[in-house]
Amino acid sequence: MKMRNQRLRRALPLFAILCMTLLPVANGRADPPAGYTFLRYDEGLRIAKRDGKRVFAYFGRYGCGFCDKTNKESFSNAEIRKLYTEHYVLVYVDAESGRRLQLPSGETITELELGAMMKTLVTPYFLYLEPDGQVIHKVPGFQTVQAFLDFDRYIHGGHYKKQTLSQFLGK
Amino acid sequence: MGRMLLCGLGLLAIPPAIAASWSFGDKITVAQTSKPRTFHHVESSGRKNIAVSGDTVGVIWEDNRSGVPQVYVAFKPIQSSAFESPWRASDAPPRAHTLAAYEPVIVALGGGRFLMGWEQSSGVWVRSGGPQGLDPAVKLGSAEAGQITLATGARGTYAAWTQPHGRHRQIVVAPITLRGPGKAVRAGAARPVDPAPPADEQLYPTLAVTTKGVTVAWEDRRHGHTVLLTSFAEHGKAFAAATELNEVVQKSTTYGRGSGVTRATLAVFGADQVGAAWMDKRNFSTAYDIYGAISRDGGRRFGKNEMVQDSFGENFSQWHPAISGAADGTLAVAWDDDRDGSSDIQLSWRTADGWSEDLAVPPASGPGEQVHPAVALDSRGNLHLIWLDYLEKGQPTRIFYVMGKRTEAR
Repeated sequence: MKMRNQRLRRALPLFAILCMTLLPVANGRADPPAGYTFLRYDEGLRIAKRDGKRVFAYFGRYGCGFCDKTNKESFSNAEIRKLYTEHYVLVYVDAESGRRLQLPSGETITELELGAMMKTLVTPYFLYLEPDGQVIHKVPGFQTVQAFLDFDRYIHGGHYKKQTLSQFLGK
Repeated sequence: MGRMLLCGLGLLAIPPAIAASWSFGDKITVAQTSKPRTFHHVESSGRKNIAVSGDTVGVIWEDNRSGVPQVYVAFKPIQSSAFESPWRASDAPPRAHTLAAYEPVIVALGGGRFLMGWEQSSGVWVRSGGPQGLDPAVKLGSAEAGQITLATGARGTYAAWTQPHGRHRQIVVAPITLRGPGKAVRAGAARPVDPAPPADEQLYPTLAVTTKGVTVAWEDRRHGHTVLLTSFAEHGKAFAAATELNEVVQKSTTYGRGSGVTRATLAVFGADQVGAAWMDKRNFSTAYDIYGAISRDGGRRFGKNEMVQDSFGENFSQWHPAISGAADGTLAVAWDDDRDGSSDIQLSWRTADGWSEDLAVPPASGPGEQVHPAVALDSRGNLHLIWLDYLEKGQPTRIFYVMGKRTEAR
């Protein structure tokens, strides 16, 4: 009996973590995908500048179906997780949120206003940024695993400096 | 005689900006700066950043001219061609100049007086005042209160805001008692609109006060996506159970459930009618559209959803809807969109046949970016509009004002 209780006690934290991971998906919410460390936009930009690393910005929306689809079908891919975690500072913006961010210019705006300023018309909306916050590439809507792999080769390989995405992909 | 002729010719030489149905005067600067890294913001829960009280226009905004975001209010007589020097409204807490203040709101109390609210120092504040001065400020709500909005009517004045309750924010409403010049207003007990503990976030309230009672609308995430809920209370009584304001368009049974709505705003017009407007992403291929609904029973229930902007505008993303109504039955909604290449302020108003064709307000459209409108209709049905203006992202911002008069028979 005591042994069973000990096993149960050991299993409970694991069960709690599993629930925390799965609940947002079960609710159909569009939080950042599980298994990634997404930061606030302003925090991510500070780290990117400090480390000279490019930024991958995910503009999502609470209850957004295509964000949910992207999380489940693309960000669940182990290769995407590895490449994007290694190559970018990951930031997540709730595009309808009133949470305040401080931009590099010193201006304080809400996450919704950041979306308006960046003209992120739909969610999900993905932005690849230079370490100083300059926009390199914008990608609206659901993207497949292959598309995310192509974007990563294009951005991380620095090809965007000389070619358009279509030229790079040979289209 | 010669002087009269010259004067007449002068008037002909500077015609008002005529647009179908509305005639607009010249735009007037409310606030501007050449100081680098200074930014103005015209934002509030419900987008109530301008009001007309008697013959006085009041405008409230936030800017960081002092290095810290603070709230400023400026007044002008309707007929005047310039705003008076602004007052800093957010000066109440100790060391207020070091405490960032955001999202201010202003409503008209009549007789040239106003009620103002804003968020500062982990709380929300209100104070009355006018061109002669600002009355003492009062802090409302619990710690971490925010997103305040105000509304007033013949039978009461109310404030609504969000404050934490457990893990989530909750909408509360309190009656406000006005006590005249030089005295602080008094707030009654703040009561949650929904007495149950919030199951998820309740955000960005907006209010309308009719003779029958008070209506509050807000963003609610309890269903795993954002819906707009409304609730009505007779004056002095409890709020009824919330009902949905927006029609949820289910796009997928597998992935997410919400069609996407945000930033509702309410206004009273005509005989106790209430208009609502909000950003709505039900047509996801064209981003946000402006949708609305009308209550004809004093704010208890709203009719079916209506697209406010015209079908051409549907092809572009609309942002920042602001609504205002007048006792003569005028109801107008302003927003910004970039259908003409850069952001302009668009206007639509209610006609006998529904919402009008969109009008790019002449003084608030053209080169550069014109965004973040706020509107107020005065007792004569004249439209008072402010907006944020800048040439390019990162360039200095300005706030402009213009007045419009109806030129068509209503």
